[in-house]
Amino acid sequence: MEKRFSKVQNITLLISVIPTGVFLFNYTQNAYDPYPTLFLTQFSAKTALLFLLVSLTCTPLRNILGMSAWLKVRKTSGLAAFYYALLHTFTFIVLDYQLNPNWLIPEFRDKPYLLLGLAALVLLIPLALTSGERIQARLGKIWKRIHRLVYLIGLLILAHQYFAIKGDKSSAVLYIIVYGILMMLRLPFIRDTLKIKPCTICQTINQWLIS
Amino acid sequence: MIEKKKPDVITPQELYQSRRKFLKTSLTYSSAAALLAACQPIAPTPTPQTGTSSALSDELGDLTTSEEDIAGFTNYYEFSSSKKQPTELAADFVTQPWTVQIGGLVKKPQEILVTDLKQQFNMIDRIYRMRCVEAWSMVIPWSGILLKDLLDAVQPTSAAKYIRFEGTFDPDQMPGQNHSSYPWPYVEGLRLDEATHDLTLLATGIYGKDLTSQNGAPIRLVVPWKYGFKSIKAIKKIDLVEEMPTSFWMALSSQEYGFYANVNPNVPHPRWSQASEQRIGESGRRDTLLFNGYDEVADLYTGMDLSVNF
Repeated sequence: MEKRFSKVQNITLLISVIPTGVFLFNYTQNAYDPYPTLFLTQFSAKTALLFLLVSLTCTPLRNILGMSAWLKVRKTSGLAAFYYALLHTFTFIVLDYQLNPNWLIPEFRDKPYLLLGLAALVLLIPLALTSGERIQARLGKIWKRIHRLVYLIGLLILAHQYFAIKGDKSSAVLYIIVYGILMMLRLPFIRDTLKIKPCTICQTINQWLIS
Repeated sequence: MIEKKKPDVITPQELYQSRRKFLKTSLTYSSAAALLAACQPIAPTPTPQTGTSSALSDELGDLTTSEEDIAGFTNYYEFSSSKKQPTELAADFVTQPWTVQIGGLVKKPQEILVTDLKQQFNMIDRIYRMRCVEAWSMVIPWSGILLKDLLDAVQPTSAAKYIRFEGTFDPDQMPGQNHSSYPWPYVEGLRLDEATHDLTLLATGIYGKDLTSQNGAPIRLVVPWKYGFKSIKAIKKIDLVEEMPTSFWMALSSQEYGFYANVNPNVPHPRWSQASEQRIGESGRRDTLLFNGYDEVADLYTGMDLSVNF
């Protein structure tokens, strides 16, 4: 049987590929000359972090609005975060350092922030592999436990980017604050206070989105 | 043992200058051609003269970076922390008239117009590698004066041990200086023997033209064996001092940026590779050379632990 994506999945997927499209278009316009690897490194990093934060926003939104469609957004944006993180790592190791062990090994040995980033990428792999609905159902309670790793991954990435930024670190601090707020929204008493009464409009939209 | 050579011995000054004349002539020629073309709309548009940049190379045989890339990709936090924005933001930066004040521990303090400075001192051309602490590099054909010549004129007293440079502070024209998280104005420093070294320049031009604003017009320091951030731009004040000055980046993060900041592949930085670099305009990385390939400065640091004095 042919598997059909729901509307919300299609929309999120489309949004996920837009940054790649923008980058490729700008690249053909030579907008990243004379040092495209630098721009690709920074662009993929920022995009990965943004999708990770979007993914972390979905559970609170589902809880507050009572819309299950957010769980589909969570899955797709989580996969998008993984894709951009892979692109980021590929750019660094292959495009920038040309897989040269003489350059790469000392880098990873001397710079803890690179290890933080690499650890985050490795930990994202089991999450990406278990993102499908069928495997989720099969894993049951273990699935939740595996996917709680995302909180650690978030911390690793925030630390990685904090140390990667030169000079003024306020943008890194801003992301840390956003992450903190997203974590607070998960606290039971905050979650329950913010929860709105089931609304018919929300339900109608939700039905349309998951169709 | 590496043979010690001054860059201007390897490529004689006359040759530089004849190249410079060629550059100037060819530019005049191309603008004349463009004018002619404008008069005859049917004639094909002449191809812009881009070949001039590939005619120059440093003493290691590496070609100079294109004028477009030198002017289009900069680190100039006074304008912006982006690499490209300074080019637009500095477009209207006023650099004339511009005086530089030279004082502190000197016998003959001076306040001199950059235009006079260019008349008063011997102008020279030098092709230097510029290695940024962020692990990218360029080869730049500078013109300017030897800092040593200026110091000879102001006569430092025996108490002077260091030289302190201060960049201009002008937040109205330099939007980056409105960011109070940085210790403006930009300050840099050299030890006196580094300042009087034959490689150290006060540059006023690139490719035989006046410096563009984003490259540090009207006058900047060039110390090719140190990371680019030492080569302070748009200098307003030069003081001879007794104590080691605290530079802009030292004030911001002293664990990351030292006073010496000599290019050294063996002393890692917590963020960027110091062992390899991306030469702008090339496709792959290359190894970074100790002292950026200027071995003749090694004598300045005899007996010093370079990983402590980084």
